[in-house]
Amino acid sequence: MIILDNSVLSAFRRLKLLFNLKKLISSALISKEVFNEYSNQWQKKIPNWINVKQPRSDVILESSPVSLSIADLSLIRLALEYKIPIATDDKPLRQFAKNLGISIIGSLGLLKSLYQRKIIKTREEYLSFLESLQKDIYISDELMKWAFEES
Amino acid sequence: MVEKITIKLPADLLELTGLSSKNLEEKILLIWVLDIYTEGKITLSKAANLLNMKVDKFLSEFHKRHFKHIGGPETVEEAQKEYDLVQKLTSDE
Repeated sequence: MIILDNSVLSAFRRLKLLFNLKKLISSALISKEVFNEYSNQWQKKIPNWINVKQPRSDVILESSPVSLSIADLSLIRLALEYKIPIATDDKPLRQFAKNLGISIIGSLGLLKSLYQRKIIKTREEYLSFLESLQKDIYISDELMKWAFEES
Repeated sequence: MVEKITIKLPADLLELTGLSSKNLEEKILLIWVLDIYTEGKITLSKAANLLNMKVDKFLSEFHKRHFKHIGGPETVEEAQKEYDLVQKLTSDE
């Protein structure tokens, strides 16, 4: 189980890969705060394998950077409570989480895993998803090369 | 916290675009937040919050401008570590 932040959740929804992501990770969490940041129309499309949870009130963060929102901090609290990684492409959230000892996963690692597990079946399809992911995050030539290497 | 500041802009452009001062303020804030988000200095959620927008609406503003967002792993080593973690997590499940 992993926690999804808005960046990864939005990217996989836009790529129409949420259904395939379920085959890889089976269940995921988002916080109520993250859920509320989407429009009603979008909220209705969140699949039921993504559970909406409220972090426990006794998980308190002493300080937080201005680059993060209340919703981001709710994910940090969920990660500390459940001791599971956060999937995020947002640099400030990745950095803050890492400083607290929380493991991080990005869209690229998830996408490569879908390809390596043959959930994404063809190289052409995979390339098209990678190109589309570049609308959300910058992927360097070096990382694009890595994405196609056997792991 | 909102602090009022004064900036100088060409008035004839205001006339050309037909924007009111209020609309211009909103437009400048949007462009500024998109820029900061693009540079990876704030999260997607924070960017949407600063503009009082839903995340999906903010993303449509972002995508239509074809910006590149600095995010995700920056090196192959970092990407590999994340990939390995996915393998570990999914083999445990």
